[in-house]
Amino acid sequence: MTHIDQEALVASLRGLQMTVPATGIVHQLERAVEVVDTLFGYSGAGLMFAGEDGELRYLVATDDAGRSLEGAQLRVRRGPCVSTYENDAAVTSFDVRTDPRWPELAERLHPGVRAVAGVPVRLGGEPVGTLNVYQSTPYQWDDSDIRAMQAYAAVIEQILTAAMAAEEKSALADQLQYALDYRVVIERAIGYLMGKHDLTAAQAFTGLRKKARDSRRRVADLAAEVLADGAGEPG
Amino acid sequence: MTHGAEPSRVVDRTLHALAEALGADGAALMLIDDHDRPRAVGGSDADGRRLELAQERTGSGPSIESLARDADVAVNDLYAERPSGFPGVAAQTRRVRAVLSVPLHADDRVIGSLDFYDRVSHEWQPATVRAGRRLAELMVMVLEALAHKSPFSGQS
Repeated sequence: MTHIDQEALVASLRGLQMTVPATGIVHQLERAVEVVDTLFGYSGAGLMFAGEDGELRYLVATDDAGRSLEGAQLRVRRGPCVSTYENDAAVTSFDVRTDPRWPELAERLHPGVRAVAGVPVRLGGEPVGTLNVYQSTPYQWDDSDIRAMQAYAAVIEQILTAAMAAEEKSALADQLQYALDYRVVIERAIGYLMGKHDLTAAQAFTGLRKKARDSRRRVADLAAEVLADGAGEPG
Repeated sequence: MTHGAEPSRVVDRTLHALAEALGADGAALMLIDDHDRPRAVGGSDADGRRLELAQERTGSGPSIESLARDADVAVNDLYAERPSGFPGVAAQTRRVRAVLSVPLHADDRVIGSLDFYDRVSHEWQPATVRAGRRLAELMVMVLEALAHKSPFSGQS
């Protein structure tokens, strides 16, 4: 039983529907991770999803150091985020570089990644990905850290659930898969724009996303165009 | 629409998660409806729902003030005399004491307010108020997703 007035909620959602432009699920998840990252105040945060091949990959990561978690775990097929997903349970590491559970990870990780924590992101009770945070120094995660992460993962689950409310599950999965597939192109375009215009990664991505939305194109398509234009410029 | 994606259930679970994230006893929601009226949508428990209904009925309270001023309103004890408290609202809610109300924004417009509440009176720390503001952004994301993915257009 909920304590929600369905009629008042629907009347309010109708009002919201009239004024707010639609954004895709990937954009919403990016915003959610940005908010969560600010709230945590840790060194970085990210959201991984399992692709069609079952491999965990970053959909959103706040920085390059955090992204090294993905590459390292993809290579050795083990690690804190993989364990979080496979066991459908929170996993923490005081210092992943010296953690005896994953000795092969240390040399593959960015030196700035030390303490790692992950919680599962579920949809319909099943794990579909992980919410991860890391610290650049060893850190003893406590119960309150994990409870907060689980609460944020629960909100992310509700964003996914709401996105699925009238949309086919396959269409949602397609959007997520597209983001996973084209992320490399987007990241290369971000790197190009950072170098060309002296921007931070966040500024480059925000600019790219805004331009894509304004011109009703997908970020990946615009990113490919930026790279193609860049390749045609005189060196 | 699947049972789990029913808007009221999604909002209910989101309010629970947001209250847990802030470490509050509960969270409640007041939204502006399609006729520009503040509506008590509900709360994570019966106290939260009563808090919103009392404010809708009396036209006063932290949520109403937050909507009107488009600003955070932190009330350490709802029972305190005006202007620091709202004894009229407190009398109808009974168990809610400390309330933090933050405005919800979508596309630069105030669409409602999110209340966090505790059953003991206390001062709201600036860091908690800042966290409340960021959590309000997550609430908006859920509402936007519900608004755009649900077939409400034909209803009136």
